[in-house]
Amino acid sequence: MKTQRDAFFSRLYEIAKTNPDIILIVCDMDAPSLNVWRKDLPDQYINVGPAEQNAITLAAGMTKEGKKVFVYTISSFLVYRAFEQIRLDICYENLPVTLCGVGAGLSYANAGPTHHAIEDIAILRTLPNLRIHNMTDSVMAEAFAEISVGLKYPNYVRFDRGTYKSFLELDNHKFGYKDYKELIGLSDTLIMATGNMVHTAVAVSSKLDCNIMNVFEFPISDEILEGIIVQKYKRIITIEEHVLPGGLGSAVLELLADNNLQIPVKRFGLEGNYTHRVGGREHLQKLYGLDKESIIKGIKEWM
Amino acid sequence: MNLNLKAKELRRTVLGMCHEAGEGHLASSFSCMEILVSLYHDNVMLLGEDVFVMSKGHASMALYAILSELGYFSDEWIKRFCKKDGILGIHVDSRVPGIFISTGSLGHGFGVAAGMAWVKKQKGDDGKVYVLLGDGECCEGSIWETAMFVVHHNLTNLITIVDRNYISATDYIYNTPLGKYESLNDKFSGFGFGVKDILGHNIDDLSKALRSCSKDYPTVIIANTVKGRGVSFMEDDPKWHVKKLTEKEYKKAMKELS
Repeated sequence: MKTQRDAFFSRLYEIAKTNPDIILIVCDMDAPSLNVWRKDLPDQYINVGPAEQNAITLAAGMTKEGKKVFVYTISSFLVYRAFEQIRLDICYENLPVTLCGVGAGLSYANAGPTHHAIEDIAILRTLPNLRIHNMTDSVMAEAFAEISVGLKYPNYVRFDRGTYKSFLELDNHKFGYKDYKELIGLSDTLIMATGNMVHTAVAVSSKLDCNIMNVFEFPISDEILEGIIVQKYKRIITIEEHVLPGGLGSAVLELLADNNLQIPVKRFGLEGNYTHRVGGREHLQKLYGLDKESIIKGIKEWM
Repeated sequence: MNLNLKAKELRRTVLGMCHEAGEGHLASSFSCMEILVSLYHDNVMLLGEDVFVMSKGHASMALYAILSELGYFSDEWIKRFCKKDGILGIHVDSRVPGIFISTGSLGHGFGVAAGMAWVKKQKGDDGKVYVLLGDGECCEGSIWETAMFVVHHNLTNLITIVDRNYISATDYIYNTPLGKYESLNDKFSGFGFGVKDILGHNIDDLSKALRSCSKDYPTVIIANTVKGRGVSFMEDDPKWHVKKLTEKEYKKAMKELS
C-alpha cells in the first residue's frame, strides 16, 4: 500500500505530465513518488535544499507568474520555520499555493520534537484564508491530489507516515474526497477525530458505543456542524495527536460556542512537556495516553 | 524633464505626504529616489513587461510617489496616505496598481522576485525582474537562501539592487553583523554574483549599470547612497529612520528641496 505522500504525488505526477504549469518545490526531500518527477519532469521540479523560507517566497513569485505551485517538506519545518512567509507571502496575498507537509503528529516518533508536527493545526488555524486538509489514509490522499490542483485558496495538506486501511474501502468503490465525513451509528455520543486518530477512534468505538466524525478539514465544515445539530449528541469526545491548545478540541469548542450548542466536550490530545523519550510511535502514544486503551479508560471515567 | 529635477520633485511629494500623515519612513525613501527614477524614467525598465519588487517595503512613499506621477493611481491617494479612507500605507501593498507583491517584512521580496524570474526564464519570456534590497535587510538569513538559489539557477534576468545607505533601522551598518562596508560586496561576490559598486545618487551611473548587466551570471548592483539624502540635517543619521519632522524642520526641508 502506498503511503499518503506517495499516493498524493503519484496521482499529481500523472496530472502534471500534461499540465506544465504545475511546479513542485521540495526542500531536500526524497521519495519513491518524487524520483519519477525528478527524472521525467525536470522543468517542473525544484529542489531548494533545506531552505524553507526561500521555498515559500519562490512559490509566491511563481504563482504571481501563473504557475500552480506545490511546496513539499517535513511538516514541522514547513510550518514553523517559514510561518511568516506562509502568513504574508501566501495568505496575505491570497495565493492558491498547496503546502504539503509530511509527518503529522508523532509520525517521526524517534526523530524527536524537531520533527513532530503537533502544533501546526493550531498555528495555521489562525490564518483566516488558509484551509487545512488533514489526510486520513492513502485513498483520501490520492483523491485529494486532483482536487488540490483546482483550489483557489491557500491550502495545507498534511500527510501521516503510517499506512492505514481505508475504512471506507468497501465494495471496491472509488470514494471521493468528500465521502469521508461520518461513520454513523445510533449513539448519542460522538467522537470527533482527525488524521491518524480517526483510526484509533474506529478501534475505540468497537468497544464503546460511539458515532465517529472525521474532521479532515479546518475550518470545520458546515456539514459537520449540521451533523452535530441534527443528531442531537449528548456528549462529544475529541481525539488528536496534537497539542490541546488550539487544536481539534479547541476548534470544536469554538464551533459549539459560536452556535450556542451546550454539549459537554472531553478532549484527548498531547499534554504536558515535550517528550525526550524514544521507543516508537505506539510507545509514545501510550506514554501520552493516546492509545486505544487509555482513551477508552478516559472516556469511561468521564462519562 | 531633467531627471535630477524629477528626483527633487518626487522628494517634495514624499516629504509632503509624510508630513501630512505624521508617519512614514522618510530617510529610507529619500536614499532610493534616484534608483527609482533611473528604473522608471531612464530607459531601464520596460513598463508592462518588466517587473519591479520593492523588497525594502518600508520605502513605500518613494515608490508611491513614482507610481502616482506616472498615473498608476490618482494623486488623491497620495493626499490620503495613512488616512482613514486612504489606500496607501507605510509598507508597500499589492492591492495598489503597479505593485506586484506586498512587502514590509525584510527578506521576503527578494525570494518572491527570484520566483518570478525563474518562471520568466523558463517560459523564455524577455521580461526582467528588478528587485531593490536595503543593506540592513541583508542581515536576514532568507536573503542568503535566495541568493544561493539565484546563482545556482543562473537567473540573469533578475537584477538586484542594494540601496546601501550605510544605516539600518537604529544604527550604522558597521555596528551590525554585516560589519565593514566592503564586506557586502565580498558576500555577494562570494555567493557567485557579479557585483557593481556605484554611486547611488548619480542617475547616469545607475542607468548605465542597470542597462549593462551580464547575460552570463546574475548581477547585484550596490548603489552607495545617503540615508535621508536631499535634506541636509537628515542625512546620514540613524535617528531619522523614524523621527518625525517638526513644523519648523518640515519648512526647512521643503525649502532645501525647492
